[in-house]
Amino acid sequence: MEKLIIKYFAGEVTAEEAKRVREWALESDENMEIFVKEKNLRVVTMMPDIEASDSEADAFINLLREHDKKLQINITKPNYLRGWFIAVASVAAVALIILSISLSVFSNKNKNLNNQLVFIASQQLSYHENSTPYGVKGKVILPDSSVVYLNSGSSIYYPSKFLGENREVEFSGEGYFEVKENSAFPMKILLKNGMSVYVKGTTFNLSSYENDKSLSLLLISGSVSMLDSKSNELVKLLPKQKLLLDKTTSKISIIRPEDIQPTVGWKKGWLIFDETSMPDILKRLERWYGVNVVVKDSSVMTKTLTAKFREESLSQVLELMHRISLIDYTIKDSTATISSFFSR
Amino acid sequence: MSGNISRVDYTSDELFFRGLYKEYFHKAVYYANQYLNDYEASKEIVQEAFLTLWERREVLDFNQNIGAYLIKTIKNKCLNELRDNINKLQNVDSQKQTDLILNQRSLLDNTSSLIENKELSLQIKRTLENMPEKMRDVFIMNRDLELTYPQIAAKEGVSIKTVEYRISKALAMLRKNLAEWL
Repeated sequence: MEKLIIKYFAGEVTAEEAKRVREWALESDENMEIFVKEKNLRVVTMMPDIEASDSEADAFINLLREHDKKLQINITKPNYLRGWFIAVASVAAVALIILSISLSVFSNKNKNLNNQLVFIASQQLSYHENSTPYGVKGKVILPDSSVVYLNSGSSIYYPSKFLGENREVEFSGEGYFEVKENSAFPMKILLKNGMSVYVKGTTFNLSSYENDKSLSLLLISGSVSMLDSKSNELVKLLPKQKLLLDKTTSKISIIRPEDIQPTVGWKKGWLIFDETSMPDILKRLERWYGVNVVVKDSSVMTKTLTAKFREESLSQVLELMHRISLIDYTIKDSTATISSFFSR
Repeated sequence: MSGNISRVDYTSDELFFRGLYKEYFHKAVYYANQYLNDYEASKEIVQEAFLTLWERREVLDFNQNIGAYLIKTIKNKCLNELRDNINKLQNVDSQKQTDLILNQRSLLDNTSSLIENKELSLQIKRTLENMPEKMRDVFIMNRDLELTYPQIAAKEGVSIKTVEYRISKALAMLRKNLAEWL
């Protein structure tokens, strides 16, 4: 077998032999260990010992400069004409009117923001980044005393002082925002997928993990409007309504969840699944407990679960899922391996 | 030398990143590709990781091992990509999916991040220096010049079996000398 493995990593095997090696690796933990060791030994020893050329390095520096320019354009001119744009206005009844007015005000004023940027730089503005690793939650107080609770695996990037047109922050992951009211000075939350959320003073839960298929925004108080600039359609959210954006299809749906606890319960330490699909459950367990989850049998991925946990450990959660015949599992170091309940 | 850009024009940040890029770019693309099995996606992820570091340069501590940080960033991005691809291959191509699951398991192992370990790369260099010349030449042609076994055989005027033998011997020697880490 050892000879076959070496041939396998050298890419010198037939499809049939490759299949045999893979099946062998999955047979037992010991085989897997040998496989992993051989694979990583191969990666380390076969690492090319060559530098990038001067011209490649110069092209890279050009890329960095282009990248910086693009960032500046993004800051000075939010691109309203492409993709999605969410605006949150505090007065529900006149949300539509306020939105259209503030939009035109923003884009006019932004024209001279270039100078502003230089001004900011010369003041030596410092930036802070607060991140919560998987398994940890946190709370951040922004310079305007707005409060953001961060769920595991989230990060927020903000200046020491808000200057310019907006209270601008960058955000990824899941956060419960309590934004201080200031309708003349909106908060702009830049997300990794290029979308921005505009807020004047309201409370909401925003979940925009990069590795999630959808983005969700649950409004607690105030009002939200979301503009699809392609179709020029304006979607309005009322308190307790939840907006879901499917990132792959760009489809938006609005639901009114009977219970908002499954969405915001994390803030109080609740881990709640409400007919949640297995891929979502496992992703959330990874974040919640700061572990890696490996799935051995993809057949488990079609299952769903409704359950509520508070102070349970990972093994207690997995044990419950085992007791109700959902999965089989093993935990070793910080990796949980999930297999089908019927695999044994 | 590409004459167009004059060296003097770099800021100190740019100079630092230029060096980082020269040292790590090819290594990092190779590294990502070993687990993703997708060269274009690997290049993209490495490029993205460099840009992430560049954007965060104000808050990075340059006294720390930035290479290790870069590799960690790439590793995380690869794990995300793998997870997505494994899901996508569900009921599509089970062999390809199994292959990626094995890669995922390997990447999750601590030994996968050893490529930025200076002592380890020194040990690899030393082992190569102590190899018989012919064995080393064949190994380096395969590793750094990415020549296939038949190409090396033709170049060296030996049989493919001989090339195979020399490379497996070279790997055995490396395996023995790196036992401490892996």
